Amino acid sequence: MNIVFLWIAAILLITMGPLLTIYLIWKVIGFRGYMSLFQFIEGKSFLYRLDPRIKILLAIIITTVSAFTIWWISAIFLLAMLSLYFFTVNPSSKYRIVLPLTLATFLGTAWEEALFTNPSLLTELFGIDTFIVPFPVQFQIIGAYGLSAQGFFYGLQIAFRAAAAIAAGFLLVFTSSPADILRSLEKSKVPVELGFALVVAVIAIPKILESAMTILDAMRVRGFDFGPAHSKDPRVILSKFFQQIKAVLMATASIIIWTLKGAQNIAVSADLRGFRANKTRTYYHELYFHRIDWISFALLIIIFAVGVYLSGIGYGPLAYNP
Amino acid sequence: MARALDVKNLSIWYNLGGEPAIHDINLTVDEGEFVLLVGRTGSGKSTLLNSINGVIPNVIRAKVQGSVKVFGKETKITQLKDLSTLVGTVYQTPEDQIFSLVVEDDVAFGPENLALSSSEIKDRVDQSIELVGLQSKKRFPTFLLSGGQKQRLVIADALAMRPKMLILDEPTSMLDSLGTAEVFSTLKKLRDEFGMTIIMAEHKVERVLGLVDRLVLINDKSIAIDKPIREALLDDLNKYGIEEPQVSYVYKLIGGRKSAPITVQEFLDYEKEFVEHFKGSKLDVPQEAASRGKVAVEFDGVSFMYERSKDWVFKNIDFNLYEGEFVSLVGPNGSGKTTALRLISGLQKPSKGQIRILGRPIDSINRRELSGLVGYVFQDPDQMLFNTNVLSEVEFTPRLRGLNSSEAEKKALDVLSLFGLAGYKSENPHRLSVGQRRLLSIASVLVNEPKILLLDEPTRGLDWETGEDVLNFVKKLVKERNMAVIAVSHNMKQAADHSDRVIAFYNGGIVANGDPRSVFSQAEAHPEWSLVPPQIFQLTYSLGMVPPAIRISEMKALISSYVESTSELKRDIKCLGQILLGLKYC
Repeated sequence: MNIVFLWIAAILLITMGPLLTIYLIWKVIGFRGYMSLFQFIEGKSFLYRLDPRIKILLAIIITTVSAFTIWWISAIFLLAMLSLYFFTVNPSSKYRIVLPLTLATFLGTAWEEALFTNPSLLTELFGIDTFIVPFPVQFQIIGAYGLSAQGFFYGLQIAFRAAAAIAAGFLLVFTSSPADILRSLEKSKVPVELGFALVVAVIAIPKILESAMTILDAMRVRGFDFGPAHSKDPRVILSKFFQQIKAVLMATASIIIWTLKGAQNIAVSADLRGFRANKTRTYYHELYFHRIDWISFALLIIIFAVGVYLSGIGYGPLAYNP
Repeated sequence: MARALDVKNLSIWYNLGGEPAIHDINLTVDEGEFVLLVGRTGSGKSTLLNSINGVIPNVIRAKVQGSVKVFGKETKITQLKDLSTLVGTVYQTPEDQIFSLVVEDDVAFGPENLALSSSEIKDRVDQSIELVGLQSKKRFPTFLLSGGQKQRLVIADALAMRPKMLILDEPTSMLDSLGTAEVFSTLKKLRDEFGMTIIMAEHKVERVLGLVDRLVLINDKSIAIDKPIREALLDDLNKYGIEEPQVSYVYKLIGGRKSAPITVQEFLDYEKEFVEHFKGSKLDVPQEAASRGKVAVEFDGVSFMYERSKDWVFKNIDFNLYEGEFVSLVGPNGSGKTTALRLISGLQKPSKGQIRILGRPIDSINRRELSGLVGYVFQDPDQMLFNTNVLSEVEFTPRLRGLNSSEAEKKALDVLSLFGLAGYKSENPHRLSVGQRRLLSIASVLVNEPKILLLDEPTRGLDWETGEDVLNFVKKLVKERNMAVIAVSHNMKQAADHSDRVIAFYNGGIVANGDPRSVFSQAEAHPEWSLVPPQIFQLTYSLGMVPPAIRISEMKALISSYVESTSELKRDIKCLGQILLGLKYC
């Protein structure tokens, strides 16, 4: 094949995955949707009544079992996790966020695995590795050998695992308040400082994103154009590209300063409310395992055991060879 | 009454060998007192408050000389966790003090840290939420609260620690008029019903005077005035950069020397002679110039709704802005004022209708050209500053417009000199004072020489004097460059003093559009617009003066002649008395 074609094809294939992922996250979900991801709204279904520790365990078991079983088990998990979102408050708004994120994870993982998996592993798994688009040898430095049919199938199978894990993780964020997550982390012996930092980070993300958008807006109103170069001259395109990189770096520095200022205020306010005043904390809402938690716990153990069994009888993480 | 606070010879240095942040402060506060702390931005108010709650030196390292005792405990040697149950603290930005996404969880955070029993935590949460009137929001997401509700939540957070004293550092500087009123009425309740000791730093002096017992003024790092409130108002507070209530100012102009009134009603009750003299009188105000400049901005049936939202921010609004005009946009939060600015700047597109800039449809103007025509200064100057030094901050826009480095530098230095910032050209913008940062954000926009300037709450967080400096500076530029200015404002006194026109937004539309006097007159019949006209307007409006005054300066001549006539009358009466008594002839 023509070397120029191969170079273009390689660059397009390598950049398309991340760009599509970014596009899905920013364009389909939108800024407001991304912010609402971190804004818990209380509900009444069984999902909200479940102890957050069970939901953490759910994410762990889904991830673990997916890792050591065949791809279609991960696909079942993914469908099951996505169907659970029916029981959240305003499920359509949740799907609007979770589906693109899951799809972005799916595509991102599939793309990465398809292009970057070592051909020797693919040959070992499938007995053959036929390249549809082999990449020029220079790309092997970054671990990209080309797109093969086997790589494509392998990527899809791995992608189910990642997508199922992501869908299970977001279920926790959507259906548990950060305070309850903090309490459950503390009950699980996670140091209080770490738990607090995680919760504050979750709360701070929308504020940081909002601030980032304001800073980029400030650049726009001062004449910075984040749009396309409107020129076919490669020098203009390249100069525009570097200008945009520079602008983003400047905005990032400003966001960091703004965030650090906020972080200091948060630290002072927390100390003024007795944070770390005692070695142990007590809880406004004590977390107790109820019947529904014990049942869910038992179900998760069964899922884990079935996963181990299936793996043992030949449905392990072997690649499916069509 | 027990002593709540005893500060003796307190001096604090952040940098060893440098200037102290506060110097030789002596202050006592008794239990149950409400003390108002005032002073220019950077005068040392926050440093003093942070030394009272123990943040200095427990969290913020500084050299401390002298002593601070809170209910007998020396803050230097008392752990912050013990002080947190004596002193509750509320800072400016509520978002930095809220750690949970549900109201009750946030209030519970402090008591949980104190390892109290869950029943005790529940009691404290319920009581604190009730005290600030957020019972109906107990399970509400914190990010959906209004600004005023968020700050009330922060007060509840502090109260849940059961402190004996509450200190507040400019708690309403980020709030609109309604949010400010909510916070102040909560404090009034805490003081009146629970005798809470309160120390509050605040720039909105006029609105808080009815609550406080004492005024402590910090000037040049030390206490300059420490007096009961009505006595303190007899001093010249303007001299210290502090805004005085207009009725107190008028009271002093007419020779009042006893106890300054704080509200319009108090003035009307105490100054019967003044009331009789001015009732129904006529006021001569200069006629506004009939001619207007060219139309700079035109809103033609503009409606706007955010993507994925079902509610209109505003519907079908029309208004014009003319060259050489200073217009204030007023109205409650969420009424669409900032959105209007974003539409003019091209950051948002109208959902319906057309916006024209200098006669051209806005969508026919590209981003770079638009930024040369329209300058937009955001609410928070910090979010407009992203360069590493002051000079490059101002050079940013000229360079984008293609000027070479020496041209851009010259242009930037010219503007910096105009703003008095040339001496700071190598400083990091974030190291400047809040007033300087505000000026720099305006300079970085004005360097482009826009025809239209948009200012979103340009004096928010600034003290009165600095705010006036900024606005006077902008007005001077408006005249010199024939610019059109739109400023979003929650300060009606500033709107009255500086605007040619006021446009009031409410409930998705424009409800009033005219000179400040006519808009305030209409607002008298519409309390729901949340526009509180300046005291001088309220006073002259209730006296039936035609037309009512909107600025003190409009009343000065009348007041002077009134003072002369009353002093002559008083002299005559005194003389007559002396003659009748046969004491002497005069």
